[in-house]
Amino acid sequence: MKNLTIKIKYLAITLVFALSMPIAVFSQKVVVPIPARTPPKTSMPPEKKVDSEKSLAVDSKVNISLCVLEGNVKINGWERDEVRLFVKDGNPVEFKVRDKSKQNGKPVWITVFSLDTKSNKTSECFSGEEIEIDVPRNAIVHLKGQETTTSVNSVRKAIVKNIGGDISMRNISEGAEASTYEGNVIVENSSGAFSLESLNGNIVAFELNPSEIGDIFKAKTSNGTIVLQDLEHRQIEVNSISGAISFNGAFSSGGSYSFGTSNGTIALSIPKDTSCKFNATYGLGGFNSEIPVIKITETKTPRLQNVVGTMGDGDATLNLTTSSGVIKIKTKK
Amino acid sequence: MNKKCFDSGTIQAFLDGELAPEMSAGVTNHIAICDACALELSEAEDETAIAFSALDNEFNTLVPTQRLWTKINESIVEEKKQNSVLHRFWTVISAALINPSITVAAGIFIVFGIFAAALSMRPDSSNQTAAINQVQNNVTVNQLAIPAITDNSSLASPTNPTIQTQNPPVQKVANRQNTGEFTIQKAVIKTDYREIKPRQPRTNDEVSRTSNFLYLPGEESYVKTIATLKQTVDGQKDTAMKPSSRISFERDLAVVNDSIDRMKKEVRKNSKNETAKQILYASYQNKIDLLNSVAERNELMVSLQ
Repeated sequence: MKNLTIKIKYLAITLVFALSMPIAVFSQKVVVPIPARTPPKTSMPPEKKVDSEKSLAVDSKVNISLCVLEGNVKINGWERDEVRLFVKDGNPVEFKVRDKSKQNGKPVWITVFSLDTKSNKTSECFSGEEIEIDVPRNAIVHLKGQETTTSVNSVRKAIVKNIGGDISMRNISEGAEASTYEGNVIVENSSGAFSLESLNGNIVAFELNPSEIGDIFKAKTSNGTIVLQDLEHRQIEVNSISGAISFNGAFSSGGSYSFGTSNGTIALSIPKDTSCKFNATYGLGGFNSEIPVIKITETKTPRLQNVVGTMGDGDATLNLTTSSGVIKIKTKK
Repeated sequence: MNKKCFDSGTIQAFLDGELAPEMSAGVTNHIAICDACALELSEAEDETAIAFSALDNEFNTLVPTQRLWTKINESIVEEKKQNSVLHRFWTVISAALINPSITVAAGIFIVFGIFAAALSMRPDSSNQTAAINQVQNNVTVNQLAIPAITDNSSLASPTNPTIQTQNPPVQKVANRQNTGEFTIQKAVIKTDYREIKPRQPRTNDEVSRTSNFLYLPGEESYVKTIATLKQTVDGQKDTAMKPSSRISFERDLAVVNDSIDRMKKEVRKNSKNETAKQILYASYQNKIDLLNSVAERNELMVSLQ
């Protein structure tokens, strides 16, 4: 009898301990360490601001890489095979030749760096109130920036990416990439493949055409409006999350055009004789077309409506998608 | 032959061993002294031998039956042996449990076994991420009421109708505002984790979320990518974005989540709706791009430093 009592006691204690373990595990709360906030970054080096100007003879097809923390950047193409850099009220800058041409020995890849005269330290990024760069027309420009207002004119190709600030480009001959998180992107009178992105800004593109067959135009924004006018690309992909899309132009025969937004209006202004096969999908909105369309199929559900049809002979392919918005097709005047 | 001689039937019975022992002994004694009976017995033996040789084939046909019986008997013996093994095993266990320490060890082993089984029966991680995604979508949609997120005083107020009536997880968030936003986000995830338990559903909506959630082809990879990105972005968005950008980001995220939810419902309603599927995938991609933009922005900022 005594042994039995001892056995029961042991068993009870064991069960209590064993059951308390899973309970303790389940009742644990995961404590996430609060990450230390990074101290506010000082964008400008604490050295004396000066005006500086440098120039360098380069190959006509030079690649230039820049990193600008702050400033108003103007990049301009000219007829000389020379790069000129002028910084007003900023850090002293120097060129660094990364690679030279095997034919003529001229630099084909250069970078710009700032020089701290006191500590003799160099930095890849620099600042200035006004930054002007003249480059050969055939140059390719890579610009990485933090808070910069950038203007690029008359170069072969431009790749600009910054955190804040507007980007404007014109007379680009072989395409461009522009990406900003806080700002507008404007591209005009250019040719080539384009990839334009803005998180919280508008995208405006007009009078663009492909430089080669197959050049694509892409534009993407989160909550900005996308306005496109007179684009001659055969493939256009436009996407926005909460912004409207406006297209004013014509569709090329055999082209593919895709316009999508989650919460916005899609407005197309196209010629009356447009020939395309379209697939329009909209949720809480509608589909209106001034141009006569032949509806092939029409599906309606409470959350989603889809119209597939043709205009004219149906040469181009047009996809229109908006989750909450209206699709309007107007006649271009 | 005399009067004491036995008839042929008795002699045949003697040969067949069918006589009683006393009678058999009497026949044996009589044959020993009676030549006639001995002769008759000899003849009877010869006849029996002839008869047995003639019926030999018939007797052999009985051999399989006997083998069968042998097998049956062997099986019975084997079964008895097995029973005895179980019995012996049980005896050993009973004897072992007399020792208290062995009893304790066995108790722990059993309880942990149950615990391990319970853990293994929990829903898998993909469903968790899906459900977390689902619930976080709702939270984000509720964040459209931006003052409720950004304004601590309004959140802390018990009279805030938006928080108190719309979403219980957000109410928990409100109670933890003082501890910082990362704890807030975790509180929401903790709530989600409880909600995905299929055995303890709180509302019918949650039940439908967990039990009816079926991935479309390729959808799971989107959901996993989004879950991973969200985890990364949640730790960065406070430092990487300005307040105005943050508001825009949350609003866009809510728009995308709303679109995803609506398309999911549409696809669940009609699984052959290809248009809804396309928009669903596009919305997933939008969400990935949106989350990715925050991560890329942070990378760019780091590269500029």
